[in-house]
Amino acid sequence: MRDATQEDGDETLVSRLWSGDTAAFDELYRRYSRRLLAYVHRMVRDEPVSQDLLQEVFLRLLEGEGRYDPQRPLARWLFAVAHNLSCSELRRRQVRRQSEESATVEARHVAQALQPPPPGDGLDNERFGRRLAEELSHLDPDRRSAFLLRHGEGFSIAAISDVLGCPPGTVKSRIFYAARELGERLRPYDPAAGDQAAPDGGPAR
Amino acid sequence: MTQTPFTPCETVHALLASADDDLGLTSHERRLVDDHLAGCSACHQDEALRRRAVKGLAALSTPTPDPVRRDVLRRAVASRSQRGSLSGWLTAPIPAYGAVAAALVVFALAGALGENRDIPVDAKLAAVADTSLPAPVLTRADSYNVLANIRLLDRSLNAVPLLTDTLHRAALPGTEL
Repeated sequence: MRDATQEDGDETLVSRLWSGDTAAFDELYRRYSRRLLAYVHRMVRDEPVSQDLLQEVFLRLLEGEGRYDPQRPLARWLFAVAHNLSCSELRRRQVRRQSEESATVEARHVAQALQPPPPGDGLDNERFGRRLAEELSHLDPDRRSAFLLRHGEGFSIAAISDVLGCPPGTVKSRIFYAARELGERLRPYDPAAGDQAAPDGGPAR
Repeated sequence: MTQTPFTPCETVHALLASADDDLGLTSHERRLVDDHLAGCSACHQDEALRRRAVKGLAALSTPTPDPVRRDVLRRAVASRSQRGSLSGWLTAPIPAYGAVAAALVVFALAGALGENRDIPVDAKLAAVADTSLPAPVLTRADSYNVLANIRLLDRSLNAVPLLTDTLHRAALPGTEL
């Protein structure tokens, strides 16, 4: 069997994967595993679960013979599966949390997350990154996924529309609200906030 | 019902959402955005934060794909090429199936007429499982490998997907996946 190369298209590699070509698997895994893992990890924020979901995505691809449409770009198909799995995991987690955790613990967690930093507390980019990850997890999953696919993965609006199965206008709206919500939540933590003087000298909103 | 017209701020946000920073906007749209941002402090700050969040996304740490799970997947792929030899069974001539069916009937009859048929179920279980031995201690990594293999086996048997969390809790009580 011929070795899979970087020149091979996704469709070729997928058909070879279904016939048991491990070289094709290696190439597909190299192309997509990190991106998919980054996406699901930002969605569910739990590394072992993310690793499980990544494995599940590739299992679905392996079993997808007859269900996967070669006319559809593979990246969109893979991210759609990853998105659905992430949302299922978040729903399961929500049900579990409702049944297992006390409301007090959750309220304390939310209060801590919303607590602005004390005055004079130096914030650096690393802390901003941690806060960003935290705030991302508080976004509505639909908005979070649109924002991550757009700005984390660089998908076009049309591609996100295909992945999430909603109209382009809805995608734009989700990205817009996600960015605005993130912006508002991150404002107190932005290390460069001092440098962001309003252009007209007016007060910040 | 009349539609509320977009405010300039909403229009600019919509444009920015569909643009890749400076790319993806026409020169007219770019000018519209720039003019608005120059005069609106709220949108200016929002856009600065949006850009910062986007930049921050790239800097967020992400885990590396687990090589153990990768190997499990790889084995699953390799097993598909071996399925070709299995498919030979499906095209075997009818007499071959007849022989297998006859053998199964003989074994079933032998079991039904055998001397074990009056042995209680508990005794049969005790004969195959030594319950006096302590349960093996599994590490977290063990449980992932076991689960991954169980799921693959499960899939290959076309059974209903197993509940990962349930299995995990059974293997490692008190831990979270």
